[in-house]
Amino acid sequence: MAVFMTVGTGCASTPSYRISPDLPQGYRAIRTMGLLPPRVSLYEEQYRFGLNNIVPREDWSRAAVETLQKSFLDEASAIRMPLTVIKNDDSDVGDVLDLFGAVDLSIQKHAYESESGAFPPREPFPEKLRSFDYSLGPLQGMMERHQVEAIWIVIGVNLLPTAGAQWGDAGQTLIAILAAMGGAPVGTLTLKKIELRAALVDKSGKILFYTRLDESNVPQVKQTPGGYNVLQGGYSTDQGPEQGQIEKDIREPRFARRYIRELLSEYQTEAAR
Amino acid sequence: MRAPVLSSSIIVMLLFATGCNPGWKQAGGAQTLSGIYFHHPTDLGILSGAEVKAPEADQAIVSRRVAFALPDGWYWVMRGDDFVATRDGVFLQNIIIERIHVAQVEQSDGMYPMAAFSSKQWPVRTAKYLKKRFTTGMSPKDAADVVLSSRANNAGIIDLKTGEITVQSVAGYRGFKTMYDFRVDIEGRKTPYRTLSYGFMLDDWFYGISYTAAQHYYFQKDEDTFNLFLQSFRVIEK
Repeated sequence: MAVFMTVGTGCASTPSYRISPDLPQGYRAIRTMGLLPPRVSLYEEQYRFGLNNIVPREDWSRAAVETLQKSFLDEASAIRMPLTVIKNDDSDVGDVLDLFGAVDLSIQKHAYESESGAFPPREPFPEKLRSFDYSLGPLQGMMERHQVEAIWIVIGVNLLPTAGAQWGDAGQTLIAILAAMGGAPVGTLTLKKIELRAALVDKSGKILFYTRLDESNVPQVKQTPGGYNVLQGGYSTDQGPEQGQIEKDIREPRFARRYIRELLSEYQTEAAR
Repeated sequence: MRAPVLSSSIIVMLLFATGCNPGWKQAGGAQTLSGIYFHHPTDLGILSGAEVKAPEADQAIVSRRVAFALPDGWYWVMRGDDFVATRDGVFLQNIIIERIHVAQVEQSDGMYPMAAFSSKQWPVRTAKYLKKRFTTGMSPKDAADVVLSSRANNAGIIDLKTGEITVQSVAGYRGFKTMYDFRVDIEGRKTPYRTLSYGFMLDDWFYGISYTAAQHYYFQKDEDTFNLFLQSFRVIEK
């Protein structure tokens, strides 16, 4: 698992997305897009003996994939973007997702500016900063089978804390505040709770648009009674946040749709320039 | 002993905190790598039960210098004593030059663990995972076998499939060529890779030159570039 960490203070903000110089031309050629099966890993963050323990949850991840897929379809429909779901039974999907993992890692490392406090530190390559140029190799066969001109790939990570882990995080923050007041250097490490990364890829395999979204650049979803309760495994009607409801849960449709809406909004804004 | 460790730690933390990246360098064209030093462990005599230390103890042994032409647009870094180069990122493609002494069984990633961090995350290393040892004058096929057995012993490598080993001239020395496939776990996906590996023994040193890239699309994309790099590689006489 890749654990995303940021130091509690001094984080520089960098644009969340990168675009290929070919995006304007590619945008005009796209009539229908495909969506590969989203790949999201959910983890339970447990707090024991002063330490946060992170446990992978396959069942939560499967639920998140379904929610994300439906959210993508709903949001695409809302902006009249024709979208086709491409399933895992297509023989090329596995190879594409395997390669995308390596490409995504390289983009994260080399195609973004250095960010103070980021861990692990970025390793920007000047040429990649000047011109965003990454490819998955020709994908014409798969796209013609599904009659699409481009595909979306969505991957991500979501850490869901137990109540104890929430107290652990709060405790770390409190210690950091007290240390800062006492003049000590503050170096609290805070685990990022959620990050989604998405790429739009054309038939040649070129990545036209790439973005990464987390709680710092997506507006928070307000908690209201009737939201998804992970402890109960379903929707509750009368519980508030203080009674077990967990925020920043990508299985929660309203939360997922906010991320997808932001993603598509960024894409459309850049594509229309 | 504590002061150098503390000062190194402070330097690393400062580099980390400021987002400074002293690691990757971009300089295409002719490059020369200095000889690398190998220090025999001391107290060989004590370990072997003899009363007198072995003559090699406390002596620094240096490899030959090597020269090559790095392709334009590629970045490089020294990961410990290994030369690592890439164009798009080490997890997409890389060229690695290794020089390993016959008595070497350890491998360092260098003084600054955060610098060019991805080069440290790339799991392929030969000396660190040796199951067999290089020996002076060993045949090219035996040297290839040492490399492949190290790969098989490497927990960061999955589904290793080795190919034929052929004997051929490498940088003017009698060496080997082999190709092998493997996978690396990247966030739960097992990405397939292919490696072209060349190597030869010279004096008490193994010289290895390898090209690894993601099998789909990337391996073929830069294979010719690597072949040109390999043709430019030469050992500088003492």
